[in-house]
Amino acid sequence: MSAFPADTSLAALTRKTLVAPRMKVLYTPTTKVASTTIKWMLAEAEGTLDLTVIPRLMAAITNRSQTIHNRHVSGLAKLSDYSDREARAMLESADWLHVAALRDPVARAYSAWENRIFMRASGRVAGGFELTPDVLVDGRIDMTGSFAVFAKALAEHTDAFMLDHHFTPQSHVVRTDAVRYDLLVRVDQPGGVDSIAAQFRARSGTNVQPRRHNESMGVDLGRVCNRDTANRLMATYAMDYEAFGFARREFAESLEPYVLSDAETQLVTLVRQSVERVGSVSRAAQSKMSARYGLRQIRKSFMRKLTFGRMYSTPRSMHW
Amino acid sequence: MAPDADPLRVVAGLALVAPRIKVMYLPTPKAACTTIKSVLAAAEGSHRPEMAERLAVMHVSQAQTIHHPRVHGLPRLDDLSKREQHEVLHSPDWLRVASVRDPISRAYSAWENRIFLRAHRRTTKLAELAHDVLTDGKVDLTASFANFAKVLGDDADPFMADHHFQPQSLLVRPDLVNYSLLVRVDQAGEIDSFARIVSERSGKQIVASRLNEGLGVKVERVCDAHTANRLMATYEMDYETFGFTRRSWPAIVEPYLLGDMESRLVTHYRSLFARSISVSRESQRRVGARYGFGQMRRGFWRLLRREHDPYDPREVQP
Repeated sequence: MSAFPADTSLAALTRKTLVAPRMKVLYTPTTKVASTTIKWMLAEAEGTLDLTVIPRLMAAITNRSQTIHNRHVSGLAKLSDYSDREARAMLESADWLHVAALRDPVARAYSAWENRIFMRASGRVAGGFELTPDVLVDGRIDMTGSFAVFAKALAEHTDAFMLDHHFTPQSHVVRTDAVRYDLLVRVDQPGGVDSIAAQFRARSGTNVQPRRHNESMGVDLGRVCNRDTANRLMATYAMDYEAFGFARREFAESLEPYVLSDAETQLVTLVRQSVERVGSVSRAAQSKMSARYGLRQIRKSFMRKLTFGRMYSTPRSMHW
Repeated sequence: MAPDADPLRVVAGLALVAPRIKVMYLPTPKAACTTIKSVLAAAEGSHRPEMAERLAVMHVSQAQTIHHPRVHGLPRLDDLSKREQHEVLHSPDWLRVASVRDPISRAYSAWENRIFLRAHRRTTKLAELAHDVLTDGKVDLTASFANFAKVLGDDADPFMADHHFQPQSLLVRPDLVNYSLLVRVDQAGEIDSFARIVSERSGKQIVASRLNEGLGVKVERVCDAHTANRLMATYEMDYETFGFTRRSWPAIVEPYLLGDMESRLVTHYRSLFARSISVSRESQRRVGARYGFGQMRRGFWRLLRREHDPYDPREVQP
């Protein structure tokens, strides 16, 4: 059985591929594989980056650096925006550089868990976080235990996680079975991201450099992932090992639990509460885009004038 | 407070009333006001937590949305007629409540929340004035809090626009309001006893739930005698007005250095809050007739083009 999905239609192969026409670069981003860094570089080198849009975004993006994933900020079109003929021409032309990146599946799974589940960044994991509760030791979070619970839940309820592309196998995105990649780098190996930057510099004449966005908690994978957990993840992502020939890393048979301090646990709680609130604010903000809302605003403005500013006198009251 | 403002009018603008259970509450920020508002709104039956989902205003958590009038549902004293206001302020049937707290604990709590965690859109300038202090390249909570106490002591004015830093005596105004109850929130059982009184008046079983939204660092761990003395001087009027005991503080406190992960989490929290303020601001810009006309025009075009999908959340509108 193939390590890649059966669907080899152009749409399936290039759904996420971004196009930088000036540089003649195609980039197929894989989440949790330095895609934020690479997109920033690509948009900067292509000259399409628009930072003025950032304050106007209403999506629940939890960090400024993550706004690059918005098409208005990056200014990069998708390959699917082009006709099939144009897309095929780009994919097959020797003038175009097709770039993609890969990462050790266990490290990627840890990064996805830490970001999407542990820190609650907005995602689409079915069943919320019930499948992956924190493991607590005296009221403090045990990262080792919590990550192990996730690995088990992922293995047992894989479909629930696969709605979120952060958890989908890399072989579902990087389709070496059907598409030619001119530059396929391992971002967790020295010089991986730098080699992409060098290509972007050469093609754009700019001096783009990779920047670390440093949004993780800074925990070493070997400190929280034991052999049992790693084996579960390797089994879940077996197709990635098969498709890309990743080496199966060795992990310690048993680990001392990595237990957060009281202050760290409290900070994680605060972050989660704020993420939850940002989601609400974003949803509320997005509801202010409709003809009905517009009509209410007109009525309120009229009433405000009629009452000499007594009614709806603050932006808070204008919002309803 | 504007120098020419009528002080009673200012109090009336801040005080909340629960007409059904006849309680007036003057909220003091960082003196359990979130808990007390929640208790009061639950007892009065005016609490509408579901409204939080419709608010495009950033609060640090869903629990904090209780501060929004649409969520707590309690009118302000100012919203009542003059006759009603007089009754609230003078009738023995009404319970007039305020809460107070040891000024140093309160100053620490305000600093931690508003300045250190940047948990409010208006405190960016204050955070620049009372910046982080690093020791050996790590954020030092003890030194950062000491720096805040110094900056506040040297020039309190920039901070006083924020109620969280105002002396409690200026907010509570016991010289103007004849309070039936002053809740000392840092003394054991005081909030619970307030909840019991409110339960009796409402006929409901109300329990005060503790909201743990700080870093969990005790003020004693980061405040030395020098810092405490500065704060006692800044909040001198609170000691005079409410007779707070001047606590003893150690001459020297070991630096409280944040670990690598703690620093990352604090940075993440600050970025998250900055981003959410941006969303909230953008949302608040979307008011007024002109915006309304724009939305109607867009709606009309969508109708003409038979677009039925909801607006894409990624969409950026002019």
